[in-house]
Amino acid sequence: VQPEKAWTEAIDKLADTTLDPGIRKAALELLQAGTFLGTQFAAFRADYLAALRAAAMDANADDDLRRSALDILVNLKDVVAREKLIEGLRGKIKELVPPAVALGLLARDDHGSVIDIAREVLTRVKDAHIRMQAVRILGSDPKSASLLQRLMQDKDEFKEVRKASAAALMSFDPKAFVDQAVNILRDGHDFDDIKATVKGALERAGIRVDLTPLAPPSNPQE
Amino acid sequence: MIKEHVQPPVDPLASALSALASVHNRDVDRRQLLALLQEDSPLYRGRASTEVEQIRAHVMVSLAKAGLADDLLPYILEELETGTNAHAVAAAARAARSVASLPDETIGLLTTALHRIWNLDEFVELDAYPASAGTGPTTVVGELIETLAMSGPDGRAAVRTLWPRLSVYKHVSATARRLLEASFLHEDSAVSCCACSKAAKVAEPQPIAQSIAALHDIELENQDGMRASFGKTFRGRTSLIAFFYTRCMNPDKCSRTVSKLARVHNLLDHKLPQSSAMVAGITYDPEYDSAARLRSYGIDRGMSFDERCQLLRSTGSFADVRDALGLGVGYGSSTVNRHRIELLVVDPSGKILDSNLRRLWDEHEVADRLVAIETADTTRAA
Repeated sequence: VQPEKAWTEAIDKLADTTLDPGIRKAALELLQAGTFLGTQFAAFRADYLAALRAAAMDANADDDLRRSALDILVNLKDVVAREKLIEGLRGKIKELVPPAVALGLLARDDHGSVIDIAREVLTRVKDAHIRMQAVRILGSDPKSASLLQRLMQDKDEFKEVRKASAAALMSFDPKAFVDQAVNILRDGHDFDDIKATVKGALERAGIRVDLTPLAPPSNPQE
Repeated sequence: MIKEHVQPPVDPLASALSALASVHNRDVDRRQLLALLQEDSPLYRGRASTEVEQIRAHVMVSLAKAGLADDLLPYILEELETGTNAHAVAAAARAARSVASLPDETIGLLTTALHRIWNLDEFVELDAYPASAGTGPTTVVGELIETLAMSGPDGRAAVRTLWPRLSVYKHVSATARRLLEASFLHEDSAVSCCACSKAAKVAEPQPIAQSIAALHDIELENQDGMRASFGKTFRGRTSLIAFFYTRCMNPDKCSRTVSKLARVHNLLDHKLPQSSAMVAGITYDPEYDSAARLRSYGIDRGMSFDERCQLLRSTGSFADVRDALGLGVGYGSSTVNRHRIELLVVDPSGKILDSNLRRLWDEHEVADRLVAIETADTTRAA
C-alpha cells in the first residue's frame, strides 16, 4: 500500500468546505496518523497544515472538526491559529470556539504573549469557566504574582478561580503561595473546601506551616 | 479652552513596515533598518515568539532585496545553523541567494538546516507582513532546496544525495528543479547565485560590551539560593559566562549551551585540575528561573555544581544586566521571545577577552582557551 496517494486525497477532502464533516474528520484522522511516519509524511506536511487551517478557520464548519483542527494547530504553535483565536476573543471575527476553549488553547504556549488578553478577560468577564482559563494563562507569568494572590484571597471570587490561582502561584512563587495559604487557613470565615485545597497543596509539597493563631494587636491606650 | 495637541503613539510595527516599503528610496537610512533585526528592537516587545520570527523573516527578505544581504550574513548563518522556525529559516535561505560571498561552510549549514526542518515544512509568506491568509507561495524546504540548487555544483551535489527523499516535495521551484535535474544528468551548468569563499567576512552587527565591570554591584543568586554580587562571583579569576533560560524551546540554544558548560567544566578539571576558572550560566528569565529550577535544569544537563560551576539568576531587574552588556535578547509579555547564543570569556579584571555570538561553539576549543589564559596568567605571576 502506498500511503502517498491516500494522503493527497485526504488533504483535498479536509480542505473541501462543501464535503460532509464526517468525511473531512476521517481525512484529518488519516493525515494525523501519517504525521507519526515522520520523514515519509514530511513532503505532505505543508499542504496538510494549509488544509488544517482551512478546516479550523471555517466558521460554518462542524464544531468537532474545527476544534480538532485547532487543537492540532495550537500544539504546533501555529501563528494563524493563535491570531484567529485572539481576534475571536476580542470580537473582531466570529469566535471559532467558545472563549473558555480559546483561552485554554492559548494557555498551552507560554511564549504566546497572551497575558494582556487574560488580564483583560479577568476585568470584564464574569463567567467562572472563562475566568479559570484566563488564570491558567497567568500561571506562566511571574509578573502576575500579585494579581494571583489577590484572586486567591478574594472570597467573592469563584472557588474554581481561587483554586486555579493557587495552583498558578504555587508553580512560580511558592513563597507567595505559602503566605497566602497561611492567611486562608488562619481565616475563620473562609470556605472549608478552599482551606482543604491549599492545605493539600502544602502537604503535597512537603511544606509545614505554623498555624498558631496570631495574637490580637495590642492597644497602647489600655 | 485650549486643546492640548497630543501626538498619537508611534506603532513600531507600522513605522517599520512603512520604512521597509520605502527601503529602495535614496533618502531612507538603510543602515538604520538593519537595527530592526536586533532582538531587543521595540518592534518585537511584548510579541509572541512565532510573531517575532515572522516579522523578522519579512525584515530580512526586504533588506536583502534592497541590496543589504551582505550585512545580513551573521543572521543568515545563525538561522541556518540553529533556527527552528519555518519563516526565519526560509528567509535566511532566500537572503543567502543575494549575498555576494558566502563562507565555505554555508552549503553544510544549508544541508543541516534541511535535515532539521524538513519535518517542519510549511507554507511561508516572506514578501508581505502580515500574510493575508497565513499561507504563502513557497515553503521552507522549497527555499532551502532552491538556494542549494543555485549555490553552484557543490550545492547541487549536496541535494543529489538527498534527492530520493526530496523529489516528492511538490513545492520546489521550476528553476531549482531544472538546475538539479540537469546536474543529475551530468550536464551541470555554472549557474550560481553567489560564491562561497573562505575569506567571506562575518561581522556581528550587535557587538557585546567590552567589560563586565559595570555590573560589579548587581546581586546574583545561584542554584542553591546562595547570593553574592557580580563582582564577588567573577572578579579575580578567569570566567566563562553563557546566557540561557530554562523555558527556551530551541534545543540547539539554551539546553545545548548548558550541556556544553557542563562539559567545559569537566574538561577543565581534567586538563588543569588546579584551575580556578568560573564556568557560569546566567538566566535571561530570573523571575521564572528560581534557584530550584536552575538546579534541576543544570543537573539534567550534566552540571556538577561547585564554587567554580554555577547557574545564576539576578535577584533584581535583569534589564540592568542586559543593557550594560548589550545582550541580544527580547521579551514577550511573560518570557523571552527571541535571543541569540551568547558566550563570553572574561579575564580576572572583568575585561571581555572573547565573545561567541549567534553561532554554536566547541567546548574543547573553549576549554583550551581558558587553560591558555590561566596558564599565561600563572606564568606572568611567577
